[in-house]
Formats: sequence, C-alpha cells, structure tokens
Amino acid sequence: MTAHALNRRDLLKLSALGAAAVALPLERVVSAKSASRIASSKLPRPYTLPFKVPPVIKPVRSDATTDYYHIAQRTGVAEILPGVKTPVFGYEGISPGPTIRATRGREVVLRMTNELPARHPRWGYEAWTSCHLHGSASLPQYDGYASDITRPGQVKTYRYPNTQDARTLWYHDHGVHHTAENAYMGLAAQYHLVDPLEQSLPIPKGDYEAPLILTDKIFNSNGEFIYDDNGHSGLYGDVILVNGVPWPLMKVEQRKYRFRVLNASLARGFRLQLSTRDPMTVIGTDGGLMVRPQTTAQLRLGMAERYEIVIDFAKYKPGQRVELRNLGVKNSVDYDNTGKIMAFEVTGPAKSLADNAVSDPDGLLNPQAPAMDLAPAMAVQKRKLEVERKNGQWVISGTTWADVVKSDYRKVVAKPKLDTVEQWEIVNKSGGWFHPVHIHLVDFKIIERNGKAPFNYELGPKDVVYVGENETVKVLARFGPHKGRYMIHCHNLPHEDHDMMTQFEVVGDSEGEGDDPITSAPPYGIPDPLPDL
Amino acid sequence: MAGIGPAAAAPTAPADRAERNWRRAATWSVNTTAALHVVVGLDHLHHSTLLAAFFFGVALVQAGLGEGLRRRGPQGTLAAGVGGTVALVVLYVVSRLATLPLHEFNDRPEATDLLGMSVVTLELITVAALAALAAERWRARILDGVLLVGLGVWAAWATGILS
Repeated sequence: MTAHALNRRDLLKLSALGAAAVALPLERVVSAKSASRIASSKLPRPYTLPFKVPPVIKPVRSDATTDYYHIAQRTGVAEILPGVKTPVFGYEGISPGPTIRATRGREVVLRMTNELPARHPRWGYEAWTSCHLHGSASLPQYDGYASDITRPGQVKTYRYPNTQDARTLWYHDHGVHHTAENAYMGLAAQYHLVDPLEQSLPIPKGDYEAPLILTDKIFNSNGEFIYDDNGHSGLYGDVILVNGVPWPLMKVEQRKYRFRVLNASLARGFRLQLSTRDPMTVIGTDGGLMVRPQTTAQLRLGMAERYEIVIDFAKYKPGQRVELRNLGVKNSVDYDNTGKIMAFEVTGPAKSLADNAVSDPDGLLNPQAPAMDLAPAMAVQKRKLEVERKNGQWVISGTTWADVVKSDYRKVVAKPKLDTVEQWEIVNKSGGWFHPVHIHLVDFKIIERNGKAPFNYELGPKDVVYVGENETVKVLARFGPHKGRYMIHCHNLPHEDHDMMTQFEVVGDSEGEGDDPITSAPPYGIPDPLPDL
Repeated sequence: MAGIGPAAAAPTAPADRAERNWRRAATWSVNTTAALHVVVGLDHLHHSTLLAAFFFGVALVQAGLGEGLRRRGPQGTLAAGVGGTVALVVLYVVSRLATLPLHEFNDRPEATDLLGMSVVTLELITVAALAALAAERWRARILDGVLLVGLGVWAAWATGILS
C-alpha cells in the first residue's frame, strides 16, 4: 500500500524549485531599495527639511502691453542634501527656476541666454537648449521646437501671447536628444497665467497657494546627480524632491490651500494620496480651471501633467501631521522612500479665511473652458496614433524625430485644418510602459479611456494625457490658433530623446504656411555688451 | 450478540485519510490556479490574443486535471500534471527575470505582482500534492526531476543566463 506522505528528503527536493520561484523574482524587487551612491547618512529623513517655493522673477521692464524678462541658463550649485553641494543647470542658475507670473492679455517677451558650458562637465554632451513654455499656444518659432536649438554662447528671444485662460504652465528645456539630461539637471520652472475670472473666484490665493514641483533624483557619492536612464527606458530616482527639497515639511493653518502640482520627473509617475485618505479637490488641469471641482482620494499624475488641487486642513488638530504619499504607478521603479512626497503640519487656526472655497457659490469654476465645449460630433477628422517600441526605438505611429529631421522637417503625422476639431485616438499596446503623450499648441478634452469615461479629475482642459499600459485614449481638440508645425511626443523624456517624437502641421485653406519653427526667429551669438530689452 | 444493531462505520485507515487530504489539496489548488489563469488571460486580452489564448488554454487543461483528480485518474495523470505545472513555474520565473519575446511590445521582464505570486504559490502546492499522491516509485522519480529543474533554474540565475 502506498503511503501518501512527503518525507524530509522529498520536501528538500521540492524546495529547490520552490525557493527559486519565490525568491528570485522577489530579489529583483527587494534589491531595488536605493539608487543613490551617497552615504545614506547624507540623505535627510523625510519631513525634516522646511518646505520652500521658488522665487517669482520680476520683469526687467514693462510697457502698456508687454512684460520683458531676461533669464540666463547657467550652472549653479545647490544644497539639496544638507551640507552637500550639487552642481545644477538652472534658469538663473537655480533649480527649479524662478516662477514667471503672467497676466492674460499681456504679452511676455523672454530673452534666454545659454550661458551653460560648451560641454556638460561630466556627461560630455553639448549643452544646447530649446525653451518650451508648456501649455502656451505660442507661435511655432517660440514653442521650443526640439531642433530649434540655442547653443552655448547664443541667445534667443521668445514671445508668449498669454491669450489663453488662466492656468499653470511650466517652462522647461526641449533641446533635441538632451531634453532629459537638461531637465534632470534643473532646467524647469513654473509659469502662472492669471486672468480676471480666476482672480475673482473665492479659491485660495497668495499665501494659501503654492507650487509643488515633483522630481526624483539619484545622487552620486560626491553629491552630483547620477543620470541612468536604464537603456533609455526611464530614470527612477530614490530621492523625491518637492520644489527642489527632499521630502519637505510644510506648516499649514486650519483652512484650505491650493497647490499647483506639476510632475517634472523624467519618467516617474505618481499616484497621490493623503495619509488620512481624505479626499482632495481638483480645481484645475493642464489647461486651467475645470468647469466644476472634482473630489478624489487618489490622483494619478504622469510626467508633465499639472493638477491644481485644494486640500482642506480645517478638520485637523494643531500639531497633526498629514502626509502626501505616492502610492506608485505600474512600471515605475520604487525605492524605500519613493512612497513619500511631503508632509503638512497643522499649526493652528487660520489667520485669514478669505478665498477659502473650491468654486463660486454656484459650484462652478470656468464654465466656458473652450476645450470642454468640444463634442465628438464636431470632429471633422478622426486619427489614430500608436505609441510603441519598435526595433529598440520608441516611435509614434512608426515615426521618430530622426524621420522628421531626414525629411527636412516636412514629415508630419497629421495636417489638421486651422480652427477645425479632430478626434485623436492614442493607443498603447504595451503592458510594460505608460506614455504621457503631450500634444503641443492645443488644449484637448479627454472623452474616453479604454471605452469608458475618463477619471473625474481629468474632466478639464489637458495638454498631456496619461496613456497607461494597454490603454486607448480618445481626445478632442480644436487646432489653432496658429498655423505651423508642432510636436507630439511622449513626456517620458528618455523616450522623447530616443526618439518618441513627431509632429503635426496646422494648415489653412489658402493663406500659405505658418511660421517656420527653426528659421523664423533663430538664435544668435550673445552680443557683448548685451543690449537692454 | 454480534451483528445486532447498526453496523459500526469502518474505521478510516490513516493512509486513506492522507490520500484524501492530498487529493483535496491538489484539486483545490489546481482548480483555483485555473480560475486565476482565466483572470490572467483577461488581463492580456487587450494587447495579445495569443497570450490570452495561452492562459485560457492553461486554465482549461488545469480544469481538466482537477476533474481527473476528482475521478482518481491513472498515475500517468499525476506525472503529467507535475510536468506541466513545473513547466509553468519555470516559465513564471524566466518571465520575471528575462525579457521574453512574448509579444511585439515586450521590452522588459514581467512585473512581480501579487497575482503572479499567488498563482506560482498555488502551483507549488499542486506539485507537492500531486507528488504525494503518486505511488512511491513514481514519486521518487518525479521529485528527482523537480529537484533537477530547480537546480537548473538556480544555476541559470547564478551564471547570469537568467538576468
């Protein structure tokens, strides 16, 4: 008769396979607890450093219609980790760069000098740049076209019309093939466009409004940044910075605060949640205020996406700490402290309760946001874009920026007519990657995500859409207000640089082409002395 | 007087009890794994019908094995069950450590997630239970084979073949 039992020897035989099956895949996960090579004692404990915000830059001069700014792109040294000097590239030598505060209807002229070293001191590439004001409907030659590069020692003057609704924009580098390194080194900053509607709403402002620029970094033993994009797949830092500070602590009063959240990481997606699991109120998206606020307990945030959120600290007791956590997204590499972002410590009663609402008394914010008025029936053309990796390259519908360059910048994936509405379907067939897809020039409305409604916090004008693993997203956009060639790309910046970027051209009926993005306003050598603006 | 009254229930032999328990464990683990493979298949349906079909096929075969176990199929069923399950475990490990050309867009090892870990744990229980159900001379051979496969996986990892 057979004894149905496993003896010790049998179990030992089984354990070789069992241990391999359980331990080896987990080893991959467990071994990825930190990326930085600097001593862990040099890294601050989360929530010990004070929160700070980048300075707001003042215009050099202003006239009746325009504010004039000068910003130098140059190297600087930042003390991101206490007592550790980190070389950065910064607008005005700081990272994040200074915030520009613009008013709708007033043009901004921004003269940008590239005073960076001819070669990156460590990584060796030529530090050319191209400044993109992300979220602005700029003319093609001022849009930061990737190949419209300003080399070290050159200057370029950008003009921003500021004709759109109030919104949180950001300016960042877009230089071809080095966007990721330049942005990682620090060439990124916020730009706030305000308008009478936004100013009239009783939503938090002034001391009760703050930018949250999220990035992640890897530090070398000498304090320098390490750039490791894992074979152009993505860079995942183990140190989370908010406005350039690792895991800061912000003191808040018992009232509502408005945060302009920007994911300025190269490849890390975030899923925000409060440690109390209380809801956050989303009042704005990439293209400005939503029609009405939306509440959510979790907020998925892809690279370059902006959300304006309101957190109400009124119910928390003085001394109570509320953490803003990152639950992580699929296919981001997480480390010990990448689940933490920052913390808020409640100090006591509010000094002012003015502008302490999330909407007007009717529950509205911007009922006439142009992109949100679009409907599928208005679309005169439907197009499909596939974002994928093919033969080791990141491509959009089979094309790369190299293809665009090879065509003398003529190759386009779409030619929408000026002021017409189109419906674009963006397809990501991969289970291994998500792609935040940015369409320049336009605000769009997300109408469908995998056949279902978009998340409630996406119900606002957008210019970046998180196309998750195996997701298909449909968007509607009205193409304008300018003619010309504009880029579409993945905002995972190593993907963009290698070479997930293409372009579309907005065309008119007969009036000729739009301005050329490269030749219409080319950079030139920095004159000595630099003339007044 | 003997034979009067209701007949006493025949005592269950410990060997029978053990056999019944292992059979229950094997049937439960193999059926649960089949159900989870349906979930995995649905997860893959969006981007690869081939992969989805593979997992649906695996689920079907595992459901068949579960039925075979319930009906006390022949010893060959047990050996085939162990062989197939070990192959799935190896495929799981390889897919988590190496980039397989599973579909056109696959460019990195699969993520180690709770669903995958649950499936592989159940499969290890299945292997153990099926081995326990096998006749002793079959069991020794089966477990020697499992040992060799396990050592092979470790060797492939240690030498960098699986990385």
